[in-house]
Amino acid sequence: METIKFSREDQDIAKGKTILLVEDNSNDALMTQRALHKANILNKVVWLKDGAEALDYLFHTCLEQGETLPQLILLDIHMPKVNGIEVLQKVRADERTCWLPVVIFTSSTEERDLVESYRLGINSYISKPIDFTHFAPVVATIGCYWLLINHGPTVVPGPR
Amino acid sequence: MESIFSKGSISYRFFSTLSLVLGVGTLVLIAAIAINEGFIQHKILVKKGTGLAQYIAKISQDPLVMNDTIQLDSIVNEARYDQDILYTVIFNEKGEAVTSRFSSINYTSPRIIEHRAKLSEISDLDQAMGYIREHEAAHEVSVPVTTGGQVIGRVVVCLSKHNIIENILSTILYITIFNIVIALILAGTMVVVSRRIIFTPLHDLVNASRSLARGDLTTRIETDAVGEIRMLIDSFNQMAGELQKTTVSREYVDNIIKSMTEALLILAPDHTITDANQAAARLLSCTREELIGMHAEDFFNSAILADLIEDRLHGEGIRVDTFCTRKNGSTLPILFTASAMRNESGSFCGIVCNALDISELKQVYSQLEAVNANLVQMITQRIEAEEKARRLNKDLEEQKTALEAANRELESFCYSVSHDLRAPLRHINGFTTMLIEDYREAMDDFGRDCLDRICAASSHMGTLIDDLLRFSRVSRTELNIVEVNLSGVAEKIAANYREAEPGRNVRFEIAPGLAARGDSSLLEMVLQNLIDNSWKYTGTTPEARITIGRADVAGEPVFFVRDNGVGFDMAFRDKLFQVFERLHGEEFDGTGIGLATVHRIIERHGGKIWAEGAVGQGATFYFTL
Repeated sequence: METIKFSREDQDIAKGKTILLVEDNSNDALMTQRALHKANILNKVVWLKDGAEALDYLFHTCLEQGETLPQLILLDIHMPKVNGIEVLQKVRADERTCWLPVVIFTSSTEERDLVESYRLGINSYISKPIDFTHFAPVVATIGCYWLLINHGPTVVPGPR
Repeated sequence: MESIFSKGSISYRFFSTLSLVLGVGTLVLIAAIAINEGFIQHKILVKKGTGLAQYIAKISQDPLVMNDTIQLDSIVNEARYDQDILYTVIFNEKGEAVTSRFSSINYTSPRIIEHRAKLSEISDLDQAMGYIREHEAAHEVSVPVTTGGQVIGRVVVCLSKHNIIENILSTILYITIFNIVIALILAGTMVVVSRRIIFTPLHDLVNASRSLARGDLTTRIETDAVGEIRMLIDSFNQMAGELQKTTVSREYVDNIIKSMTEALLILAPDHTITDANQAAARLLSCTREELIGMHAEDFFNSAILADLIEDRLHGEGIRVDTFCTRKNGSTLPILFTASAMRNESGSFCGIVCNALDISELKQVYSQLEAVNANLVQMITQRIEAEEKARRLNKDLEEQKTALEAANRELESFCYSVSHDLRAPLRHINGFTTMLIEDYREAMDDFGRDCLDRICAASSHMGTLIDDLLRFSRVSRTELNIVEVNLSGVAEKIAANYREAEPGRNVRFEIAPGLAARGDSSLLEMVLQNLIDNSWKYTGTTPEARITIGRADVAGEPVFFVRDNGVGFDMAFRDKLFQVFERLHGEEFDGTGIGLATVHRIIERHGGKIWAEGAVGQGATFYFTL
């Protein structure tokens, strides 16, 4: 797979958008962040280690304290305390956050995780490749797609 | 035919009554007539006498005055003409008879003649007169002779009543005879007529009734009777007809009783046999005549006899499986039923018994019992066997459950193994690669080599994990048997390889229409593995050829995948399909699990797989499904 690299223009376009990475394993987190760097994606990456922290960040820090909501949530499924599925549920249940793009990024290839996630309304499901030569491009592609190619809402939609 | 006049018959009564009535009637009549006639005759006599006396008195006036006795005698003499006149005497005023005895007494009268001898002895006229009066039924008339209003004498005339009596007697006789004749005629007529009209038909009726009573319901009377008797006879005939229609004749019943095969016995309340049918006689091996009068205890045991009492026979009676003792001493098993017989007033008057020979039945019964016992035994055994089977089944079920649980555990174990092992692998790989990328220049060849090997090893481990997972899944997943188009699958796999490595010169020969029944994904795995091997081991062959087709070995269809690659040593063919056993070293990449997986899949489909090959000449893998 070819590695995508952001150009200057790309970086401008993607400016200001944050990525929320919810991942309990520091190695995986490190690798993901490195892959993004290697692809010249310089956006801020908020790394949280479990679902509870993620929810707290989203609902407390962002919504109540005014922090910008992330443009992309990279969500692992198997995490302590609150797992990815529960986070997903909560995010999708709240009107203020239900529009957020959620990409499940997990090492699980289980059918039932896949089905459950899609049922709850994820935007994408990516399995982490074992081989790093695949891992890096996949991450880069994800970043490129969601920060660059995909049009998220520019104005945060308020309650209906 | 009995005498019509037998004591009790109606004719007798008829006749006797008639006779009585006629007799009494006749007597009454006679008496009446006698009295009447007597009276009349007497009156006539008196009149006659008086008339004569008066005449004589008249004509004797003068002679009497003159005292002309000769004249007077001739006068009285004249009175002799009538034989009824016994004497005629004229008396003067002094009361002296002036006529002579000879003239006065009428000796021509037969009545007087009778007494003549006696009269001749009596000289006196008065005495004679007295004598006559005494000895004759006579009547004296006395008329005074008057002249000029003066009585100058008396005329006495005595008349015999004898004729009157004779007259009366003869009248009576005539009447009696007449009556008798009439009576006889009447009786005779009555007898004949009544016989014809009444008594013969009645007698016929009597006979017919008796005959009907005896049971001959065809009795009818033919008669030419008339009137009420005819009505009686007609109604009798009608009755007989009705009776015949609605009642079974005695004969019929007798026939039934005689012909029935079951023994029928009628017992009196004291258990003597009062009647029996032929079947009973046969059952008890005596004659019917012998049976009647014998006692039930001669044939039946006391247990039965105890039951033959009114209380026990009440309602539907009794039915007993028992035995009887025949006259010849042998015993016979019988089915004995008895019920109470009641007369019209409802009182217990006898016992009706039925006995049926059940010796054959008993035999059959005991045979059945034996068979039954057998069956029961068989059933018990069968039940035991079933119990055992059930227990075995239960064990099997339990084992199955345990196995399933173990399977599930294994499944989740495999999952976690693959899942949890992947992450560290990923990290090893990742960081090693990062090291290579970032510190390539800072390392020497050996360092780089080390890192390369680490990467390769972790990759290899990933493949190993996947292969192992797949291998274990193959044993556990359910087979979903469908018709699989093997040619199509092979084509697809071939296309994939060609696309992946377009540079390689490999010719695929895939026979069309290869199809088999099995799990499509597993069979795909088989072909994938085999073609993968072929692809791999023809890597060093310039003109590589992979053939997939079907052959017939010993009449059975066999699929094969053949290549002309490096082949293998047939000596080691047993190791081919074992896990982790490889016949080639590191020159060819492989985990050693692929063929084992294939083997397991084929095994699960109930087929066989084997290989033939030679070093340097390629290999052929045959499999059946």
